[in-house]
Amino acid sequence: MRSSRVLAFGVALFVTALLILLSVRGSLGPLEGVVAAPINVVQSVIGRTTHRLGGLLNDIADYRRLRQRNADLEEALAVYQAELAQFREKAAVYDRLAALLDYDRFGPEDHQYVTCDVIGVDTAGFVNAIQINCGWRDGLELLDPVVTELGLVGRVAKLSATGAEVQLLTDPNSAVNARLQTTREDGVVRGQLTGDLIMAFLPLDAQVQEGDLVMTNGLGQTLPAGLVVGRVLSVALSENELYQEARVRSLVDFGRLEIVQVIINFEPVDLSVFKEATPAP
Amino acid sequence: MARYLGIPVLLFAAMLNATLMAEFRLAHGAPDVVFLLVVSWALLAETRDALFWALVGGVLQDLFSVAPLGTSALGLVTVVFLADALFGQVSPRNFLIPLAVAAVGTLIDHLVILFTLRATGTFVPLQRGLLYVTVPTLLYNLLLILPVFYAVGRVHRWLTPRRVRLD
Repeated sequence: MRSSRVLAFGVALFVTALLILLSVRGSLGPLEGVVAAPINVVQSVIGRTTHRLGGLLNDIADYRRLRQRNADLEEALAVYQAELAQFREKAAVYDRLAALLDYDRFGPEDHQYVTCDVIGVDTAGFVNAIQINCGWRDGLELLDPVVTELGLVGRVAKLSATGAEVQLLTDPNSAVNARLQTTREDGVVRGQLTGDLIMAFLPLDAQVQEGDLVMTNGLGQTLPAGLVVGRVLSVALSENELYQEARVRSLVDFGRLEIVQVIINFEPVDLSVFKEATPAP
Repeated sequence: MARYLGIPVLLFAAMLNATLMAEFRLAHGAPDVVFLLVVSWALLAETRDALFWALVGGVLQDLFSVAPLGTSALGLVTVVFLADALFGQVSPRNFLIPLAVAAVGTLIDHLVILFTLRATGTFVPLQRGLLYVTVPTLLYNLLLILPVFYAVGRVHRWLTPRRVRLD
């Protein structure tokens, strides 16, 4: 009896180990895609319903706070509308000068978006990721940038025909090359399990101020430049005191994502060719 | 039959984990319905059935995750084996053992997942992972194990009627 239990456990252990091995090697991708397709449809329905339900309950609880917030936002909107008019003027001047210099960059106006619903969150709590109802049939590819109107959300990490997993900016394995908008200092924004973002490798003499906007800088060409990452909350020296670290708060509320957009025409540059061309010492 | 009845139930539970349960997130932990069902079944049913539920539940759970397929299954299979080896089948009226298995089982399950993620190249800080994910999940699981165990007990009794000797 006891040996039969151990045997059953051994078989189960062998099967799981085999699954993990095949999954890591990518051999199960097509199979997972086939299984995920019908599941994504059902999950879309459940996900949308629970999102609405959760949102409704939250709104009821926050009614008074929301009224105050609405008033604040209306006030802020008036200020921003004036600023926007100025920026539009500057953008028009920039476009004219860029045309004169024949300078062509991949800007926000060149982005091609696919809009997707968020249908779930990653079930392994140790990974910050969401599931969306768009897949390679909609033109998505692995590592495509995912955004909302408030800025960068993450990158496509897993793909099936009708669905995808998006690794969020806040995932501990996410690292994004970024720049402070005002001082143009570069750093790397890393996710934390707590949901915070840390911008590391800022030079010791960099002037970092609370409220500074952090944008992607396009270095490494893994993400388009100019996507909003967040705002600086605070700054401190790193543990080894070799550089500064800024705590960054994304403008995106990752817990309340309902709709996201995937930029499908951004093509990362393959830098590995330069490595291959370097002669061995 | 009970073995295969688990497949749609666990699929629905995995979907709930990815959707509804995410609304109850405390830090990064949320109630784990698949874990609760599998653990309850492990304490009531035969070893092979319980291991089958653990395997299927884990794989279905991983379909909703960027983690490699089989990661959650490995955690659940380990918990089920240990629970079975230590306690075997328990009465549906017992409430201490399910509580103990839910608490220690959540910890073991998460440790196995954490180490598997690390071994397959996904970095997760151990201390923060345990604090922000495991502790809240453990609290939720402790809160929910008894009603789930009771409900699963009713289903188990319905599926496996007691044998009665006719004299």
